[in-house]
This record gives sequence, structure tokens and C-alpha cells, in this order.
Amino acid sequence: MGRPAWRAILAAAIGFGITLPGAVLAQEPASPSLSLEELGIKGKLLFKSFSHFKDVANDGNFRNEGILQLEWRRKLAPWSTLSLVTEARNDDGGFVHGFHMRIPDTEPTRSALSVKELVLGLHPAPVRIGVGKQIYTWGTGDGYNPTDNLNPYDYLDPLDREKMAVWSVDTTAAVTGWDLQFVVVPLFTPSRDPLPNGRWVAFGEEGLAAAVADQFGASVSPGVLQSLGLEGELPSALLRGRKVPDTGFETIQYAARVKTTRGGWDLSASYYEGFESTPVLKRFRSPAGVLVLQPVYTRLRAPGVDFSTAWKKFEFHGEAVAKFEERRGKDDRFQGLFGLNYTWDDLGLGWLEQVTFVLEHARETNLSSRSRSEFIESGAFTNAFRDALIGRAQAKFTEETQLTAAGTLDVVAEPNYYVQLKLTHKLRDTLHVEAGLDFLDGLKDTFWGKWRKNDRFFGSLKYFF
Amino acid sequence: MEIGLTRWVLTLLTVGALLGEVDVPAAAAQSGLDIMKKQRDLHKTRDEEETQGMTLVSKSGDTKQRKIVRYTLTGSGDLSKILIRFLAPRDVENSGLLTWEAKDGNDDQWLYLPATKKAKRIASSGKKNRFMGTDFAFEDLRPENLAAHKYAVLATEAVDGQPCWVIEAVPANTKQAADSGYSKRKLWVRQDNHYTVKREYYDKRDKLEKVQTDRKLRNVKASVWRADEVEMHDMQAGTKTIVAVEKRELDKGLKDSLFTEAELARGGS
Repeated sequence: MGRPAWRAILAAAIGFGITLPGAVLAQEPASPSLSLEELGIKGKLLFKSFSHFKDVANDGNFRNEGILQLEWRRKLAPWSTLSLVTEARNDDGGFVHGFHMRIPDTEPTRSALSVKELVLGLHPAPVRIGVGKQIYTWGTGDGYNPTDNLNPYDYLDPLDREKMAVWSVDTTAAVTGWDLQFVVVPLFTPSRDPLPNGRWVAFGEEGLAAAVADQFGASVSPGVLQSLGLEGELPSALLRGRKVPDTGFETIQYAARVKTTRGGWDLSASYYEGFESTPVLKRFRSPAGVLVLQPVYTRLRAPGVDFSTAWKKFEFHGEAVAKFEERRGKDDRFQGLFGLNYTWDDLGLGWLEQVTFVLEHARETNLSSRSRSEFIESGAFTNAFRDALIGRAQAKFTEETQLTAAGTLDVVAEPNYYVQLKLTHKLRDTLHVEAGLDFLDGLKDTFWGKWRKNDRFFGSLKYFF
Repeated sequence: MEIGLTRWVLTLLTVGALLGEVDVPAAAAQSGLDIMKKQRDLHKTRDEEETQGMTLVSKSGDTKQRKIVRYTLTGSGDLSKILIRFLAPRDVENSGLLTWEAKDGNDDQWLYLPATKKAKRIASSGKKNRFMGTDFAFEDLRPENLAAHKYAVLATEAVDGQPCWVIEAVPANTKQAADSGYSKRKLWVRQDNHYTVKREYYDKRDKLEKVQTDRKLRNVKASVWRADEVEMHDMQAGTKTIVAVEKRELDKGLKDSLFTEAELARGGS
């Protein structure tokens, strides 16, 4: 879609957002029966715009997105509900490509029309069963949740990532102060990786294009091999498209969680057996003797714990998980996070109601390593939180206006960081506007540093109906 | 000695009668704590579900509408669990607050915001903060915690023609004082049905901050009374929140499993 067309969409969205709520409000007393809510339909309309400050090869500096989400919920019986969230979207950054509805969703791009969530709920108390395409949120961390492994993410824009729902069966029961949950995910859905020709490609300007797309036979540049620790293999290497695990009994994923509150402590233990949603690189020799690299997905077992408690004006929380490689991986790893939350509300300032601070430290360590493994777990695909400080400060001026500064500083080896400043304002209950800046820096082979040319301004308009 | 005491009491009664505020026999009959305990016993239900419409009035008179549903369950030790969930408007729909009352006042509280799909524990300082833009602080939405406060009868005074005890409630200890946004509260408790019809909230500098008025009282069951309209007026900010009860059901058999963090995080689905 051309730029003029997007200007027209933006103008229409702003016009729609500003005039429609007024019109609806003005009409409310006269014709309340016209509300969509009476039809059981609710929704939101979003317009997002991103303006990058620096040029990169093969990608533009501007991206605009339009998203329409519709929600419908129906009580089928006193013990049963059906809820559906559908989405129509488009953008001029190549993230949306046609219409597709593959189960599981392994497409490298988004569909113009999609079912975001679809859940049939059966809840004869104290048991609840949810069947369908669902989102889970486990863990107590604010910026990062190592125990939260059930859903993949859409990383087409890693800073504006979106959690992807998975087809699953969720059974929960509340029994004498304990919440028990068991989830089965029969089909593996990988995370959606950045586009191979885009500015968010995992190796930044080095361009490890085929590693994140189904492009076979692409050659790997010397710079990439160096960053993978494969200098000895120079100058030749080929890259194959990613290999998603075949569907079958062996690829079923499941997870369980038990949670309770005792003496002011929220405690939970969890277990996940399934795949990492982001790949590692497998290296092997072709019959011709050429080094081949191929992204594959690690199967793992991950017991974890998390907690949250409050003491005086502080809330403390933590998560820890041990990830034991089962297939297609190199390392057994421990991932942990500890953080606190403090709200400063005795400011005595008329213009500032409160400031909330969140500070966390995340750490990853290797428990054991297979030194002769054919799998390469470089920082390019894995964790941004191997030794990282994560912070967020949120200044609330009024109920309508807030300024948030958030970021993470990865202090492993070479420091690299990501910082976001964001101002949000409610023009009215139904219309919110948001604007901010993203900054990234670090050496080019560090997690955030590889995207250091992606500093940008962003803005969004959100209309609820 | 006895004669002296009688004379002192008579003098006090005379002064009180002249001032028109102090009614010593009534006050002496029951202590502040006795009145509050009796209030709790009289108006107690096992469980309760209320749908409320809220009108938020700004200083300039602009209004916003909110709609909430409030579930209450009273369990062992007379301790309550409360789940409040926003039904409207759309931008805050399904936001929720879960409170587990604790005897020592250190309630467990969790807040759920749909944007994050996550329920988060709130530290005690968060209890002073306004709840989702209303004039109610988190701590205003919890049941009256008798163990966390000291109560003293100050006087009797009529509200809308009904004689009331005026009871001062102050935090029982320094921790409660630190956790609360108020230095004290004054409660007007009707003498006929032990229902609190008016509350004054004083800030840390002892200045009047908010006034809550309960109106349209109804005898909903046996000794149980409820207000169909509640107004919270922030005197300092000049804002008001008016709550109108649209639907109320008592003792309908709400399950304990409704009052869990998992249920809060389900966002009403």
C-alpha cells in the first residue's frame, strides 16, 4: 500500500476516533438500542505508526499498521461460555501477507484476517475446562517471565511483540486453597521470527536472512560465521530453512501448575515439557562436505517456581526455571529473575499523583553443556536476559495521563541496552493516544546492539467500542 | 467521692446538653468497638453480589460512567473476600480487584489489568491509591477491619433526622497508620439499625479529605440493611463518585473458588 493511501487511513482513523465517540455519546440517550454491545459485539480499532531515524539496507524507515479487533462472548449454559476474538489488520511493512489460517500457525507473516482467540469454557465449579485457541500468563515477573513457556510470540517487530494464542485444552480446579492447572498443547506453534529482509533480522546488518525464512541454499557471510564462533569454517557455509517439528504424539506439549497463597505469600510450582518457541542452529556437513546450518527447535523439560509477597511499601517477586534439554539442544540452563515494585505516593505534588518503580535482575547460567554438540545457541536467537537489569518507572499525573520509562540493560560480556519512553493519554474513555521513543545500543554482535540502527519514534491511537 | 463523681457526671451532662452534641448516657452504654462489632454482626451475610453504576464527577462537573460488579464472601473468623470487577466502560472492562481480609489488617490484595492479562499483588502502600479513577481508595473498598483500628464514641448527632453515634476510628498501631492514607475517620452510625450513613476521611495532616454519604437505605433481609446509593466526595480535589446499586443478591451460594487469583486473572471469561 502506498504512502498516500496510508495518510488517508490515518486521517480516517483520527477522524473516526474523534468524531464517532462524540456522535455515539450524543446519541446515547436517544437511541441506546443501537449499541453494538446489545448485539454481543465489542471491539477496538488501533492505528500504529513507527518512524525509524536511521536507514538500513532492504527496509524502509516508516511503518504504519491498522488493526480492527472484534470480540464476541455468549453464555451457552449456566456452566458454559463461548468467546471469540477476531482480527483484521494491514500494514505497509510487509508483516501482513494475504489471508491464511494454518493450524498450527507456522506462516512467517500475519494474516489479514485471523482468529486471535477462541475458547469454549466449561465450568462446573470447582473445575474449569477451556478448549480452543488460548493465551496463558504464568509467572510474577514484570519485564520477563522465564516460567511462561506455553505461548509463542510474534517477533516481526520484537519491541512491539505480540503473544500468539495456542490451540490447547486447559483444566483448572480450585481445591481447598490450592489452584491446580493442567494444560495440553497438541500442536507446536513456533514464534514468528523477524522478516529475513527486514530491519529486525536476527543478525542485523550482517543479514542471516535464510535462518529466519524458508530460503534454502543461502550462503552465510564471514561476519555471521565469526559471530557464531565458526571462524574455522570460513569461508563456506550454507543455510537451510527452519525445521519445525512434525505433528505427532511425540511433539505434544503439556504443562502443569499448582498455586497457593499462604501467610501473605503467593507461591507456585510449574512444569513444562515441550519446545522452545525460538530456534537454535544445527550444523552438519552436506554429502558434498559443505557446512550447513539449519534452525531447529529444542525440546525441553522445565520445572519452575515463582513467588510474590508484600512487605511494607514493597512488593517482591521472583521466578526460576531449570530448562533440561531433551532433544535438539546443547545446554541445560537455569533462568531466574528477582524483582521489586515500589509505589511512591506521598509526593505532596498537585500535578503528580504517584510514581511506580519496578526493578528486576534476570540471570541465566549453564547447568551443563554438551561440548561436542552440533547445536549452536548464540545470543542471536536466545535470551536477552542472560545477565540483565530490567526497570520501569511509571509517573501517573492524572488517571488520564501517564509517562513510562522502561528498559533493560544486558550486562553480559559487552553491555547493550534498550530503553523506551512512552506517554499515554486518554482523550476520553473510548479514545486513547500514545507516543514515545525507542532507543537501542551496544556492539553489533550483542542482543540489543544488533538493532542499534532501529531507534525510532512511535505513536498510536486506540478506539474502544 | 461518690457524690463528687455524680456531680461531675451531671455537670458534663449539662454542658453536653447545652452544646447539643455530647450524649454521654448513650455513648457510655456501648463502647465504639462494641457498636462496630454489633454493626458487623447485624449486617453480616454469607455472600453478596452487587452490580453498581458509578458516576465520576470532575471538578468542572463533567461526568463519566463506570459499571462494576462486586462479590463478597464472608468465611471463617468473620473475614471477608471481595472481588470487584469493572463491566464498563470498554477501556477498563474486566479490570478487577481481589481482597482477602486479614485479621491484623495486612490484607492480601491483587489487581488485574486486561492489558497485561496478569493479576499482580499490590503492596500495602497501594491500598491508599484511588481505585481506577474513582474517589474510592483501595482501602475504602475493604470491609471495616475492627482489629486494625481503635474506635471511640465522640458524640451523638442526627443525620437526616436519625440519631447517630459519631465514632472516631484511628489506626491501631504505627504499621496500620503507615499503610493507611488517613490519620483518622469519623463514622456516623445510626442508633436504630447500626448502619454507617456517613464517613469523614482525614488526611495525614488531619485535614478533611473525603466525605462518604450512604443514602436510600433498605432493609434487605432480617437485620441486614444496605444503601442503594453511596456518594464519595473528595473535598480537596472537588471530585465526586456516586454509586447507584442496580442489582443485589444476598446469600446466593457464591463459591470460594470465585475468590481466587486465578479467577481474577480470568477477567470474567
